[in-house]
Amino acid sequence: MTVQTSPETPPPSAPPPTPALAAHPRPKSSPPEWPAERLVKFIGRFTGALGKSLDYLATFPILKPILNTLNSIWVGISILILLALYIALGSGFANLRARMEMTDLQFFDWYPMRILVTWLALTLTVVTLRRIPLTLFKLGSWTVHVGILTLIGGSVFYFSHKTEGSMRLYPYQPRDSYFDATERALYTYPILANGQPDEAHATMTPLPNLPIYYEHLLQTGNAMNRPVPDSAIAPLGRQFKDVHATITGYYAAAILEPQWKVDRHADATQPAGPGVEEPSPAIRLSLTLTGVDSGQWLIANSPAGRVLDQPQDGNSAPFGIEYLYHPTPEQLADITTPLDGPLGITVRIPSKKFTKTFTVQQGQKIPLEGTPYSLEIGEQQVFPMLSKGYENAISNSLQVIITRKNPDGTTTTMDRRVLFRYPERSPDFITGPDGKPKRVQDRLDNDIQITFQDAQRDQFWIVDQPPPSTATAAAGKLELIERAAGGKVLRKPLPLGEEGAVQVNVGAPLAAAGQSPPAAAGVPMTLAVLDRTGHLVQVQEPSIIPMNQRKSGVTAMDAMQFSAVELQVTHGDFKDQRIFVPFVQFAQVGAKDPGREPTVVDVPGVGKLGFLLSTTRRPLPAEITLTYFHAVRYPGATHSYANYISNLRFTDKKTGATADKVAQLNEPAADRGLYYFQAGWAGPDVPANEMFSILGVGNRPGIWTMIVGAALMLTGIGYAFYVKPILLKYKKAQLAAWAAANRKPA
Amino acid sequence: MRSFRYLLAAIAILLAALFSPGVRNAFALSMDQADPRDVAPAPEEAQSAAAAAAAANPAAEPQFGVKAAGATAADDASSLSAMPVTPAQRAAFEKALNLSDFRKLAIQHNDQLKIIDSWARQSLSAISHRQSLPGKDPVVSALDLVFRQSDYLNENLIYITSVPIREDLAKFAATPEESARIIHEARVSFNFLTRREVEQELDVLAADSNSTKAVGELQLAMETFAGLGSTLHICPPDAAHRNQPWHYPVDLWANFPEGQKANQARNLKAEPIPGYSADQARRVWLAIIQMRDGWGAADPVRVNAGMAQLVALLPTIDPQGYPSITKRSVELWYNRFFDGTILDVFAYLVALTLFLLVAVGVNQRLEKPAIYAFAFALAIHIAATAVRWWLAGRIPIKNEFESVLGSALLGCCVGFILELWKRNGIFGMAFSFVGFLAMTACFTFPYVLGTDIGQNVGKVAGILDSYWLYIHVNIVIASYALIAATFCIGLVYLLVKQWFWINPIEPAFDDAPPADPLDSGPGGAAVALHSRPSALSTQHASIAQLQSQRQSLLSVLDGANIVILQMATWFLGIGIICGAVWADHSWGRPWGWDPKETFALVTWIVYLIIVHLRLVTKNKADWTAWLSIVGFGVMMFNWIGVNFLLVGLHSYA
Repeated sequence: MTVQTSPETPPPSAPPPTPALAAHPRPKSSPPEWPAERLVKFIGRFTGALGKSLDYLATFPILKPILNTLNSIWVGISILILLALYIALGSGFANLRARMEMTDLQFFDWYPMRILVTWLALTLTVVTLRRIPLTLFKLGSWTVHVGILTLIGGSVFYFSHKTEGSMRLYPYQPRDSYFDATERALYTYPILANGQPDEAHATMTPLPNLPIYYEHLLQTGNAMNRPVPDSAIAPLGRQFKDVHATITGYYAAAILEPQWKVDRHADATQPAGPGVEEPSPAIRLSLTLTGVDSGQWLIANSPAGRVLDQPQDGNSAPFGIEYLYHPTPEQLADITTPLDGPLGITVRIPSKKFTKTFTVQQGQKIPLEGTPYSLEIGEQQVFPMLSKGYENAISNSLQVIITRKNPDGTTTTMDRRVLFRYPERSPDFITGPDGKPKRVQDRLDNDIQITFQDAQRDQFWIVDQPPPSTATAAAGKLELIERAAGGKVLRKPLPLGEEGAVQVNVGAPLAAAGQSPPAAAGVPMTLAVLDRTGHLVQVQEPSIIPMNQRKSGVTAMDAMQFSAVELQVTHGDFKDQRIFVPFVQFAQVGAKDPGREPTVVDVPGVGKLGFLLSTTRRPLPAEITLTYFHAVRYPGATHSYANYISNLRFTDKKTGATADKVAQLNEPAADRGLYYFQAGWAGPDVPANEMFSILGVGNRPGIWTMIVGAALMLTGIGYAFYVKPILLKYKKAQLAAWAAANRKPA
Repeated sequence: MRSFRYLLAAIAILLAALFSPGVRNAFALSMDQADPRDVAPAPEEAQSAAAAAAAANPAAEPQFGVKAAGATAADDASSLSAMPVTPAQRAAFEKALNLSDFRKLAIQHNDQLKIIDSWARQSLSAISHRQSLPGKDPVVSALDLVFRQSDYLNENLIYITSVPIREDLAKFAATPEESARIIHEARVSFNFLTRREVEQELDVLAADSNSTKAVGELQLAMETFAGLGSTLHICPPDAAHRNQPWHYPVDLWANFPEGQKANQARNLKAEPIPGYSADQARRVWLAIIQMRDGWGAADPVRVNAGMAQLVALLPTIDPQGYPSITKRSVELWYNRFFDGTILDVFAYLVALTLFLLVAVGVNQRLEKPAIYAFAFALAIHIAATAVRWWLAGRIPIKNEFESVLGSALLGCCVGFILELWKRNGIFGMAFSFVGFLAMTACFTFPYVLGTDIGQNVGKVAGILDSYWLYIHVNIVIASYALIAATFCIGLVYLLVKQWFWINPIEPAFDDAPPADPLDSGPGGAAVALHSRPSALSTQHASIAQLQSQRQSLLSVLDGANIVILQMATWFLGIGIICGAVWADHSWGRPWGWDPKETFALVTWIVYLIIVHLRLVTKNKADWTAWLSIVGFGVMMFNWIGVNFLLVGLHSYA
């Protein structure tokens, strides 16, 4: 391809015919030439010979179509278009690359790119040799083309010899290896008696073709079956020689989350004791209402887990569901006593044998006849619970000001916040001498017990009744108690299973006895208890992060941050499946250099093994120690950083000689052919003893070839665009003068 | 999101503490020489102490929830402005405020020293995507939000950038009308956003990678709204600590006895701020209290007195380190002219119009006025860039806003020289178009559409502190300006060439000239030679003359296009290679297939294709014009689209 820049450019093979020359007969002496012109023309003889050789080869029928195709500028333009499209697609559509399980580097090193670049190089070579004579006036085109070819050659060499990765350095903890940028490896550790992984005897198995972006699992129908070579496990100790591991799956993005599972082997009828777990009764609920999870477990022993609070959603009014396992008669009475309004309280004073339910409203004062107490109803407030065991639980509360007349004639006033869901946690507050409210640790007056009935929205209780006889192991019956907004109560049996589902109307007032239900009110909801167990246990299970929650277009390393492999370990009859081994960027374990700990598998009769998924560790030519790290803020700034500086000490592995160097932004440290770039740090909020610096590590093979190629290319463009027109101008003037001098007088 | 709620609560508590009557009483008492022991704890002090006590005991609930804390702060703030003030009184109060010196007071905000006026505009922009509240001065708006925050809790101020998020949140509106308003106006109230169900929805949206960024912007707007008062870092350190962060007025409590008591009441242990005497610290705080109280009561006398006190005192703490009054005044004018963009939009538009008339031959006498207009626009452009450089303390090419301005400046300088050289109106037209386009973008995106493209003068990532930035970025953005100029010329070329599509009376190039003897007569040629400009609009000109004149104009346009295109190709090539050298130096590899790199390469390939197509095609100029437009499109995608649509290492570019 040539770079022709102006209509005035002469044809390639001959000097420009000036008007003076064209108008006169050819002079006898040869036109003058500049020394540079002659020098370039001299060199051009050799390149011209090469071009003619190609012309000759093009006469052979076999080579003719190939060489003529490569000699076409249109073909060259087509390659440029294809290259532009390929690059734009690969760069602009990261999801396309991900679909093909390729990183950006892999995509741009794929065979279509290789073919295009090779084709471009061949076309450039053939076009340059056959079409462009090497003259002073075509030197620009030649330089550009030679520069591009040099750049291509340098790039091929660079990327075929490039190694790069990163390392995490803690102060004064020397390291003699770094971790590859993308190639992953499985690390296997024997676990010592103290539970720590024995890093000295760890093995590393590179996994170069492990997928990155998509799941490969049994449940997604594309499970993996990649045996871990015995060389990864056998060296850990003789006892492990018959232990085998297989990679059976890959999670592109997953985290371990607690999941509830039924322990079918446990006997719910057995009392807890040594070797017998505490019963954990639970039901699995099914609701047919938009926006509500179907199949959610309600767990009786968990204050937060036994309640399902549904806020206002679309047309549905808010409602709450609570699972009550073997409630006390008082609890049952509280939730089944009808109210005449949206708020109610039940007051019990056992010493006075006083029990009464009141429908109340804010500001109402209630004297409790026959008792020393009087009440005043305050405001409501929603409280998130913080107490141990009540984490994540929330309850509405009602402020009840209790005034008690004491025997000595004085009165005591206390402010009780009565919790709707968890009355056992309702605290008392008093006003201290300093005028500040103080919570009374144990309730101020336990004689008066108050429960709060919140009937401002529909409330449902699924009551698990105790069996009629304690002698039988059979479970009791389930009953649905509904207290509609406004206070009316309805009770229904709730048989287990979908066939036992009941229909309720959310947001509809309940019909009074003997009346027909109100028409077209509320939203119908089907409620069923699908499963019921006495032992629900919590296990850690991988939870796949949905695709829409994963970052797209990120680097391969960023994409791997939540990846994991699934392993199966076997030994004789022992088989441990679905072992979740998450990815960590730096496989650095141990107390002095904290990282994520390996996943431990206990093989019966053999011992414990640890597995860690990370990137491949590569040796460094020297040992590196971080002697000081400093994050430099801008003057006066609180969160803007001007620089990050790592002071490094390189120690020769053989001689022990040391050299101190500095890596900082825009100034890498060089040592023994490798360059160390300041790439990251622990962050501003990390304590000094946990501070670390992350360095990028890489080599630069053939970088100067690339620089020379780029320089040639750019120089050639400048020459072709701006120097050549000036040369042509002078050449024309020179030829015109020469022609005039050689003109015969008339 | 839950932690975010706690953050908001913490900010609200801080605000409540800052403007609490307890502290106000402390000052009032101190001024009356009363016994500080008489200072009664404020109600919210009791509440926060109770909350703290409860927090210390995990078993102690109920806690005062986040909403409760927020409401407490709001109630407290509302009590400050309890005295009813009519809108007319409020308007009169705002009119009577003397803000001229106060708005030039220095403040450290987002790690950058600026003036109160900048703080107000930028904070309002972050909240509401406009620089002030409707009908109010920016500083008045911001101070109103600080001192009367409770009055704005239900005002629809907070802007939702993302349309899908608006649609999602609109379903929580009370009425269909309100829902439609949220979608169309995009502004909601703080109280709406802190409703439990809205917060839950935002939690869900934040987890979705498609909306994470937009939710983050919304949360930033909420944080800015809730914590606006806490960003008033107006107290400079003394000379011995000049490079230390500036102080918030509350920090000065530790410097005088009444403030120390207030700290003790809150169990706050704070060291005195060096450089401030007890009297100075007390006066600063008193001035704040005067402003706060005066604002609540709509009393301009008190507010003006407080502001005057701050203006008189704060610059004296470290006179050498305090930004000069000249610099602060310049910054004020820089703000008022929207970073100089608004004036230059019109200046470049005038130049563009005049050059266009010259270039297409309507009136050659407009050439000189066009050059003057271009020079005027360029002078404003240079001045705006120089001011920004001065204010930022660094070269202003380190974010989108600055690179667009810098690119246009470099291009317009080149264009001005080319125009002075050729005097054909075409270079002037192309580059005044570039200037107009750049200035319009730099005015419209931040100040009309509310998009943050880096218009606020601020600090940049340390990685950009390299001499390679000057080389690489300047060359690349200069090439972008040249590419924009080729787009303009290519567009004009195609319009001239295809004008008969638009105006059917115009002849096409392949139309045969009519058999009019005038056309082929000797007079026709003479007219074509001497009256090219005016002939285009002459009704008596023949088709042949028109074709000839248009052909002549097209040749000139193509020649001009080639001149700029060659420069663009060369500059872009050099810029890409310089970027590769910097990347190798900084990131460890010269080429990482980053989207910014690859689309710059694609743009360059487009220009290589143009160069080579001119060798093998008949309609060289047509190809050049069309591909100039394509190249501009790819360049714009690379410059703007990649930043918004793709993820890469050049997020600041």
